[in-house]
Amino acid sequence: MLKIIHVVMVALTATGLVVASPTLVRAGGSCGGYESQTTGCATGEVLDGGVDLGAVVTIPGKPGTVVIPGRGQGTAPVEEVEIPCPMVGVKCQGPRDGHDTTNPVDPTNPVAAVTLRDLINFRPVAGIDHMEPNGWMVVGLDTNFYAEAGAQMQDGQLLGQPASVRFSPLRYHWSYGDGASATSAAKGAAWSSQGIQEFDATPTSHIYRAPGTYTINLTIDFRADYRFGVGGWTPIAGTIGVPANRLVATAGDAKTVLVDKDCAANPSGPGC
Amino acid sequence: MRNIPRVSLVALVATLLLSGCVPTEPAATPKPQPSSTPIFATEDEALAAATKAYAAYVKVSDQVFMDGGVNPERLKAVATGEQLKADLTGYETASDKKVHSTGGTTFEGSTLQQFKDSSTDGRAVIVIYLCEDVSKVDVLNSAGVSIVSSDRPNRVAYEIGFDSVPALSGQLFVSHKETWAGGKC
Repeated sequence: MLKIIHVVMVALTATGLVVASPTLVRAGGSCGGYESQTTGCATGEVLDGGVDLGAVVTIPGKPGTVVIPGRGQGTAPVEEVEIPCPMVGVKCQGPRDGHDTTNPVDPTNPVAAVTLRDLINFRPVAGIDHMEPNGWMVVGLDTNFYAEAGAQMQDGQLLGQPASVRFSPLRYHWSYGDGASATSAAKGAAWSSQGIQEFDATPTSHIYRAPGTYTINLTIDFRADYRFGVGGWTPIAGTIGVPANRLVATAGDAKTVLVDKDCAANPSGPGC
Repeated sequence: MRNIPRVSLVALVATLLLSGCVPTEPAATPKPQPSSTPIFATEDEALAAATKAYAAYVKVSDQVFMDGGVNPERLKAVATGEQLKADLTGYETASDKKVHSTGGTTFEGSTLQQFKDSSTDGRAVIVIYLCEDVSKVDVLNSAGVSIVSSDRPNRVAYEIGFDSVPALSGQLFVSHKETWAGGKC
């Protein structure tokens, strides 16, 4: 389930409205040479629930600032933070329910922060789930699953303006079809590319305990950042789960396994 | 090592082949096809260009820091956007604090994560991952004392983005550099 967080940011310099930066969690930010060599750069990660959000808005003609507190302390899931009276221009537009995409915003003057709901024109390309052995498994031995997914950049219309959205895979959820499931921050890799033997355990491998046909589902959670023009990337709170291809495979009892080389060619192979 | 009798291996192979009982391939989603003609002919070419551009960036960035952050605008030849901004800000701090670096940054294992080109404006955008090593880098103050944080990670996985400038024969500039939480070094 997606946890969507709304934050309204008002930036209308034309009308004299001054805006302070919203305290959005930044996913890292560009890491300069001085920082990386002296202190190290922060590892940024947007969490789906429990991020602190807030905004500070200064309204002309009214002394002081209105501080919109954030919610989410890293415990209870943050379902939605609604700000009751978003400011557009100097008028309150009433309760906010999504963005009005029929009125394009000036990218240098964004009216509202972007939420996952606004990404109607963007969608991460689904990842690909692989398994070894390909299409079958041996009961009692490790079956290696690994995903193929990477960061993706897409150009399109966001709030009526040309923008880029970058999706980066964060987590991989495997449901193995035998009642077991696993979540991994690593996407895994083929046995050969890990330099290990076939049927060896990997961080993303799974052992089936009974013969049968199993359906394996993989969902990849992506985080999203957006930018207008060539400006800096701004993270969007929450994650988007995108299902990968479904694998159907048969597990059999085997006192024997099929290997790619015989024991003469590979004396350290399985069973040799 | 699992103890599976060697004789049985041969038997299984023979049985599978004779019976035609070789499992069928699982259905896999086909890879998405690029929607426009790539500026770089292949992904390998894009990765090679990005790796070369990053090596050039590291060389200039290291030199600026070794020089105590003077003339940081040298980075404009290799960086752009938010990366250039972050570097200029950082090296301005170095100059103010009168600190400089010694030793060089190295990197390895660059892999292509994203390669997008736009035939309409002739620009390419490339994102790669790599593992950077600053273990040989020290940062010294004017008294020659190291100011490197004790918890500075020496090897860090980064996501590096590049923008191309068509007017400069498609030269790639480092446009962002962020720690990659999913990466391992």
